[in-house]
Amino acid sequence: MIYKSKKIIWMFLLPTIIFVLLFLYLPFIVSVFNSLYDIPNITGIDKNFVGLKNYKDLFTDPIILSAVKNTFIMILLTVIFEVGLAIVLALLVDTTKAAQKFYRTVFFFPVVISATAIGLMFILFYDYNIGLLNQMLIKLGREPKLWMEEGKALLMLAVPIVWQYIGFYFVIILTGIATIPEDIYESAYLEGATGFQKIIYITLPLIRGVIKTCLILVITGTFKVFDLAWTIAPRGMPNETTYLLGTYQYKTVYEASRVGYGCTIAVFIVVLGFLISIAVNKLFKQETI
Amino acid sequence: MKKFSKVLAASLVGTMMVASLAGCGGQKAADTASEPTPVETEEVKEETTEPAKGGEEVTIRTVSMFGGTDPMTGIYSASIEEFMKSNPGIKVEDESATADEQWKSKVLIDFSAGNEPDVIFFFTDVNSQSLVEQNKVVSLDEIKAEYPEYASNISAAAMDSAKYAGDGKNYAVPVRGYYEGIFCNKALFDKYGLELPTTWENLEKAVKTFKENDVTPFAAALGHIPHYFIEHFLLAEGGVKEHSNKDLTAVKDTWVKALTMFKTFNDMGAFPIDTATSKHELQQQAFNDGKAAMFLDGNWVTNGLTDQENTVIVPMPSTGNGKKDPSEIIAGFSSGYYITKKAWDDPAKRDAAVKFVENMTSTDLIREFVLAAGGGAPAADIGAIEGLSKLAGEGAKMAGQAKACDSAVDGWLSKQAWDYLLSKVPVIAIGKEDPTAVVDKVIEIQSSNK
Repeated sequence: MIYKSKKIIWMFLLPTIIFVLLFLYLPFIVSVFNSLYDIPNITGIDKNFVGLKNYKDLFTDPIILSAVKNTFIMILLTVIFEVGLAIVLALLVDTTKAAQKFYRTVFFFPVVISATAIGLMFILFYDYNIGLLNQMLIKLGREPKLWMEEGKALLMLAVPIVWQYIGFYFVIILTGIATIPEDIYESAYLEGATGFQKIIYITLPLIRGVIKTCLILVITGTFKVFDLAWTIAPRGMPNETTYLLGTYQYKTVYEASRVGYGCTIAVFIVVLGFLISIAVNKLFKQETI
Repeated sequence: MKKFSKVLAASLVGTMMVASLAGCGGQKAADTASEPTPVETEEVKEETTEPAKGGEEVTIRTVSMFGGTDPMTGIYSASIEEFMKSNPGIKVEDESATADEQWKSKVLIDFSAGNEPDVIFFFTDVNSQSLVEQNKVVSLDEIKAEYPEYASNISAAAMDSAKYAGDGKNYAVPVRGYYEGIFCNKALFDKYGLELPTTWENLEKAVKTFKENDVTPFAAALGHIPHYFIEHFLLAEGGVKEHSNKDLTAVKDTWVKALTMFKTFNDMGAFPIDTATSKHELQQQAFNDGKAAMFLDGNWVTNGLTDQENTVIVPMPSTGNGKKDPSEIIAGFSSGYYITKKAWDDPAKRDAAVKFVENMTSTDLIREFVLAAGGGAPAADIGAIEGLSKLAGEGAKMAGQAKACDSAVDGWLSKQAWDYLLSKVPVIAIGKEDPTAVVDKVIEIQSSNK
């Protein structure tokens, strides 16, 4: 024990504890309380106690089902493409020591751009009349396409979400690769291992812990995706088919003024997120290497 | 409703007369209309000489919907600058933004959380309900008791239209009214030998012909802003009489028929291929680019339409069942300046807030706002105005000739019912939702909110 007096520990922890209690736990408790009311006004006036009615509505709401499905599809896509591509890019960039800083900057750049700006940019990519993609098709003599049509809208929505955060996981994985001792690779070289074999038998096993961390982050992070999805496809465009849990909860509270029901969705998101976090942590239980 | 029509007609007579002469002038009317040229009124000049209360600088926080691409943004910002120059003791911190459903919610939350501004330009309809019920804004009676000249230039009819329906009192000072209609690309109608959609037959024929010729009949983003179509289909089917009937059960049939039109028109190819995913602003651009022949919107969009010479505005025609007079339109006063209770109760801010509203609702500034808004009924007697564009003049004429008008449905329908309706429009259009079931649900939500 470094500190004999625990006062110092508490002194440093207290601001964070207060912050977390005020801005995380208190709102959650208030949401649980509000989920038992019908609150037809964003200002919270005229609320009526309805007991578990909102929870009954939740389990019969077809949009919630669709939003849960979409959220899980989005998680799957981000796991495969966000982490997957980040691993591939990190492995490739690791081989070129000279330009590593350049690639780090280039790949990380989308992370620092505001999601709203990226959303607006992709709206202009996808637009049927003036969109970049259709203008390119027209220049190539092809017919313009409806990029956000019902069948593929969720996939099109996933493109910028995946694209924005590849760089984030790329940097984490690249840093993980950099921690592998060089002498292991030298031994492999002396044994005559090829580059591919080095990746399969040395690099990937040794960064397993980093990959697991990335997977936990990406799964829990996708659960909270909101801003980009809301900018590109507000109100579940098209035809209420692209709602994610976050966007549906926001729409319910701030556009439909169904505050009580919105709080019920919020509680549902927290419970589901908690269960998924436990499952993910159990699934990727850290093994010491 | 009829009262508003009268004031609209009367106040627009001058506007119409000038509009008809606008084409004769050497200068392009639209150019002058879009320039933010706030005027220094006699009233303001007098205020310049008056020192600020106590000699200390007072800061007032203001919020309005004149932000983003709103045509009023320039004039509004310039007016604030002018006001601060004329009143060195008053600093205005403005937080205006584009008005959409999220902005409305943000405003209401700010009020609820005690973070309200000192002066706000906000809606006078159902959206203002919680502001009044929470006693967050000051009634004009209370203000006039201390400032007898406050809003004295505003016409009685305009004040009447801007009353809060709950208690029949005035809380906001209106500036201008609005009207809505179908903006038509006249060149495209002429090209295909079509009559303007002044009758239902003309409208249907235009939709079919444009579709056959690869021109989008209506520039519409049903997944984003289906608002205008909802109220206009209702108006076409039931006229002002049924459009204004708040007893939804009594006019259920009209509502069902109106919502069914989304499917009918969609099947006819009236809406663009991306109507469910596009944004209203992008559709306005498609109309400006000549890719669409018609655009349903209000007078505020007039100055944003690029081809003023080739664009005309007509009222939504009747379906032909005899319920709607061809001249009936959607129009009204739906917004105004409020002084919040917080500012009123603060002795340092009360005078500044009153001065600010008096400045922003001065007759000269109302004229500027009416010009920038492409017409619309002025809340004060602004006399004949110069510089209205040809299109704005036609809009004013259409509004002036309306035998009856009614304000938009979302002015009285509960937010929950309205949001549900908005969500279902694109789904009805593709035939995945039954209009009758949707109307039943709207009635159920509306009843539960009473």
